[in-house]
Amino acid sequence: MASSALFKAELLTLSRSWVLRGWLIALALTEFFVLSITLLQNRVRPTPASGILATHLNGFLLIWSLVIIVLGASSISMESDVISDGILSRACTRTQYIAAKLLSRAFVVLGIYLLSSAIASYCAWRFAANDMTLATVSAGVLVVGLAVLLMLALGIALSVLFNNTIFAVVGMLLLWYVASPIFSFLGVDYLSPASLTRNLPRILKDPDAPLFLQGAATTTSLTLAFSKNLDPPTAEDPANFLLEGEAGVTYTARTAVYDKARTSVILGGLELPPGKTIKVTVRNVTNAGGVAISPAADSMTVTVPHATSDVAPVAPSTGADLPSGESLTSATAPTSSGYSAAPTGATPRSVGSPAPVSGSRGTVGAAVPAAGLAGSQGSSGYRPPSDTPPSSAAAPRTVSPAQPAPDTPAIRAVPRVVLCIATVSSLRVDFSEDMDPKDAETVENYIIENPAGQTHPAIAAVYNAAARTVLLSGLHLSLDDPTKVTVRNVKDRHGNPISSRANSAVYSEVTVWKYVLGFGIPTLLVSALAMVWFSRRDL
Amino acid sequence: MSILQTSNLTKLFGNRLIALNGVNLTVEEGSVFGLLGPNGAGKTTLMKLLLGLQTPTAGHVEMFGQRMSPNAAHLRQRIGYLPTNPKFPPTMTPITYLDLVGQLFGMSSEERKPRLASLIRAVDLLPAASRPIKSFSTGMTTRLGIAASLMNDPSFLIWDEPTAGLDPAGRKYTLDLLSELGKTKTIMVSSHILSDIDRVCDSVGILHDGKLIFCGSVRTLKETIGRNSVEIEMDGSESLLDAFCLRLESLPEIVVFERKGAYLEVNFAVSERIAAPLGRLLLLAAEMEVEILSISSTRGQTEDAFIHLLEADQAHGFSRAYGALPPTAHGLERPVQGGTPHS
Repeated sequence: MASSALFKAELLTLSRSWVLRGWLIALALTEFFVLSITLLQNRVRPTPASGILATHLNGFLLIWSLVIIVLGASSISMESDVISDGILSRACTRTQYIAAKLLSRAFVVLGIYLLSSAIASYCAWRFAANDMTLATVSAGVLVVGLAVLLMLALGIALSVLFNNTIFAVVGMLLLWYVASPIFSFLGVDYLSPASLTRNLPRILKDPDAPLFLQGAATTTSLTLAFSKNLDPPTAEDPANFLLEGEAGVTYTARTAVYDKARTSVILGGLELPPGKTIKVTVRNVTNAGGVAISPAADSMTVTVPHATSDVAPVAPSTGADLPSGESLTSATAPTSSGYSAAPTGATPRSVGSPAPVSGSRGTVGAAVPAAGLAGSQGSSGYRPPSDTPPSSAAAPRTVSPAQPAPDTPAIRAVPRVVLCIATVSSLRVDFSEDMDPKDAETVENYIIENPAGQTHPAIAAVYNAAARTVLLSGLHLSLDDPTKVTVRNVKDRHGNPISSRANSAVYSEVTVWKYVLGFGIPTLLVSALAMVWFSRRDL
Repeated sequence: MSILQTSNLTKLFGNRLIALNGVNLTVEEGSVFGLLGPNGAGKTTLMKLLLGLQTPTAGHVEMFGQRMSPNAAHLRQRIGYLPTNPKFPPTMTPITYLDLVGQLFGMSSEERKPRLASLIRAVDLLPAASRPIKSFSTGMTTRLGIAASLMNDPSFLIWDEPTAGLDPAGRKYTLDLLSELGKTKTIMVSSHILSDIDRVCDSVGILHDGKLIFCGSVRTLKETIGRNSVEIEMDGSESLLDAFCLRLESLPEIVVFERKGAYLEVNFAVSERIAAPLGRLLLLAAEMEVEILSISSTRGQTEDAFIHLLEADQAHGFSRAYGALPPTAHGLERPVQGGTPHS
């Protein structure tokens, strides 16, 4: 009875709090404006539903964390006299009191958060191309909710420690915003709010949402490769493929044939101008489950070659075991935030930028890391590991306007490993410079190992000069453990050896459960700690 | 049977302050125990330790035969606590706050609603029953605190300076209430207003610099001063009063007297009965036509004893480390240290 009485009293007190009232008003106004602007922008530049919801959840976590911190950090310190005289001198325990504080605040904050997320989810689902499922939305909302709870528990714990509310709030702000680099340094990136913010779009995105991976053109046909099997009625409707040439000229295919084995669509009956670029946009195409193609990767630019053949060759997209992003030559793809559509042929992501791959879900589509996608702008698309390296004539004619410039003597930067991305059977290594293909395709130059020191030899290595990536295949990796790749004896085209200080990268797959545990367990620990501290504190 | 017992109770706040030093105290059931001490003596700290609001650095508190701790809600279930200058949830009203207190004590709605209504009425807060507590004056908050401490009809009341901040009427009502409650409950009340303690308590403890320097009955406390004195307020001309004082010297039972204006403080040699010498003094006044306006037999006695004990403790110097107290000024028995209030 004492517990429920305290809980109700806390709710009553919170309902009269001006901080909470002000927050509700500000939240409602902000939600209205942000959602309106996002949805309006969506008409001009389509953003997937996962992007809209991720923006909302990240905004809630980053902007309103200040209010949540104040609500938590002021809970005890602001009323220590009242607690002693009015409450704890009666027949209740300190555990009951602190639990009521925590639960009442969690109830209010999570209630507001869930309501706000429900509205944002509905708007994203209703007005944007849906690339989420109920499960992915639930997972994303759960993880952010746990982060909110952790913030609240930390605030209350600091409130127990400090009698002064300002100290508690400042301490909490420092802890929350300084945590990311510390966690990153300690190798537990998934404990940090920044990591969650970065990876939220991937958590929200349906891993089954098909992506438009690759296009190859002749003067009479276009072959478009997708990451997943498509729904044939939507894939074979020529109206779902918008072809735009230079100066706004549009082209219409007479036929669209879906090749289920290659998960590709061949558009026929075209008269495309040789040597010109065509922008291909795929609309209203879904997979068999009705999930729309992700607007994050629904268009690309292809160049019509001078030499023509009946059907442009394109590599098969074999789905789940593709290293993420490997086939996405010049497709528009998630940017660094993972959800906003990059313009076709966007500038490759800076190799110096942090490109953590820890958020990858390890499956094609939703798993495609930002850097890998935006940075793959070569002319050679995905090649299965068993293939021989394609000659230039055989390669699909996918050309990006931002294709790397020809080598010049001025380029003498020391090459380094930028990142690696792994699946269970393959691993992609991204380099900062254009590497010597002979060195890069020597499998002995790569040491792939797990934390226990167990090595995994690769069978084949294929270098993609345009993307500056090497695809190592024939591996048997367990993605439960981080995978480290170390590169040695590899030089760039100018003969510069790989940097000895940046010759390795680690792929650590972060899944939802890691975030759940990463935020959930600290929440429980901090709450327990707050109870213990409060039980020992003099009032 | 003792309701409360402390053993070597010591409280240090970090390395900054020694609030209590080895306090051994016993409060018997049914007694009204007064805790005396100057400001900063450690009275409030002692009371918070008794309630488990603070944890002792050394020693322990036993309440109703069980060890008190911060989570010992079942023991506080039987205690009514009134803090000094209490602070209650500012946005609550007396009704909502007393309702919460009733719920914390596990009272059903049927029990607590009539109870809180009668208590609000009793402490004269009916007109303010729906006003937020933050708008209350000190006196009103104290009265609400009194009501809250009685909400669970406790068997043991701990009131910390209950008359602080009250107007004369409120003070009188509070002391009357204490006297009334003392008939059925065990009460521990702290104050530095000695006359309040003198009026309602049957036993008393004196704290000085965190040390319990006296614990015993009020009578024993008065005996430590070792004299029977009265204060007489007179009316008459200066020459008449001087003459009256000269005649007083002839009365053998009067050992010393001191006149301050119209007031005369007289100490009698007899320690037990002062009626006979006082009668002779009054006869002398009547004979000399000195008007007697008032006679106070107790005024100053407790205060004197209190101050005397504090001074004696101070004067004892370093030997206080061994717990001994200096002999009293009149060579009478030493005050009981750490004993039961019923000597």
